[in-house]
Amino acid sequence: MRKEAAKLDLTDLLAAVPVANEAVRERRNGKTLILYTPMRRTWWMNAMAWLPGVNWRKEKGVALDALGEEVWQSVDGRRSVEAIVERFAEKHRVRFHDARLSVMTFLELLLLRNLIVVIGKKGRAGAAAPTSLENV
Amino acid sequence: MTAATGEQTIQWLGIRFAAPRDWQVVRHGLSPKRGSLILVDRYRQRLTLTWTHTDKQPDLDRLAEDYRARLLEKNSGACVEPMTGIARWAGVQRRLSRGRVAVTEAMRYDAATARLLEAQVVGDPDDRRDPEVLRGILSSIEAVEPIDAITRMRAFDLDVTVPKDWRLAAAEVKPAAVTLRFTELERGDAAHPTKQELIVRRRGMADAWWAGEHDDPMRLIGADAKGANLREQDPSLGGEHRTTRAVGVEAGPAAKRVLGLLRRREDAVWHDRRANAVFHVTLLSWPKREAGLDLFTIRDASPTLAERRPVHA
Repeated sequence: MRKEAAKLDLTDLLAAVPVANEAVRERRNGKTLILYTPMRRTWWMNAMAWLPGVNWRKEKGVALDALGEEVWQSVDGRRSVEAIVERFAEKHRVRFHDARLSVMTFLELLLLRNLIVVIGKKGRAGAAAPTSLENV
Repeated sequence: MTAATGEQTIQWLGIRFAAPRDWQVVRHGLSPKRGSLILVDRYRQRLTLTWTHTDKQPDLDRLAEDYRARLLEKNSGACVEPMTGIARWAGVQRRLSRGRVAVTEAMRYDAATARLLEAQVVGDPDDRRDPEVLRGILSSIEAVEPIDAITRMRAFDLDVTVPKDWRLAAAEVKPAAVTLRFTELERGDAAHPTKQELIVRRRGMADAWWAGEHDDPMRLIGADAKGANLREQDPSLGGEHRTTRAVGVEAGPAAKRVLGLLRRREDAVWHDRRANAVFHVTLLSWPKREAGLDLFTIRDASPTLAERRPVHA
């Protein structure tokens, strides 16, 4: 039976701590920061590697714009998502909600590209309160 | 309001109220006769403010009973009590253990503007200041302008004042980007809008895309402003900021332009460094009608850097 993914409360998402993949290599190309993650080679890729002309990539790169780099630099393994959003909002003088949308979209991208992992932590104890008026 | 985050004043469609500064409007209505605003804090939806134009005063006791029945239906066995201690408001509250309030449903009728105001506030049982927050919000809600004479909108970090007979026609709100459109009404009649139009845009996070003094404001005004002329500095509109203004006609077929069938276009762009935002205002008007950007007041309404920093409990 397929196990359903647990649904996360927003408070838990904000309390989570993103941690950078230690295998990530950084390279700067002008103003652009490029992050490289090693690619895992399957057995058939290894088998074909001996063939002339076959040259499998060892790494996959992701280029970050200035805002993306800022969020990436904020991931230090200690700051929660909420703290990263707060930092972003304060720097760019935007509302927390607006910053949250941008930062969490970007963190999701980093997660999908295996550049970070996210360690879940329990959110505020206020989870006892209804999360929206639909649940009232 | 709480000392932790301070407060902000929101004024929308003639209703003004104070809310904690870290709450944000995420849904808004456009009709002064009927609509709602929804505000969230960092974690959840907290306030829904609803207004309904009705000439006849509704039976508030019956409404309160309806609220009570609805709360009990969703939470059987819950403790639902009448709300007390806040002048002019009637309502009910669902309470958790130790007297903490989970949700408040309150209402009052404003006879001066003939509007029923309803507020649903989700409590934060872990915040000992929550009762104070609730009291602060409810006691601050006022209908300050009648529905046929709404001249000021203060929300989404914008504070816009328009002349009488101008009305909000559309509001497009995206992260760090807000556009409000106003239309002049013929003698204030909502059924007869004119083609006079004011577009107010606030684009935040300017440090990420605006090169400051080295950037070209005409880039924003774009090719739509045909025959634009630049005039320097008009502090009356942009406040203390250096404003670039351009005058021309709206985009359209050359034949219409020759026949004078296109609206006059007036643009103003300024960069507010404190707010880290660029404002771009456009007025489209017929030359024969009296209208200029000087008739409007547009200000930034975002919190200062110090005001943004939350004080954690």
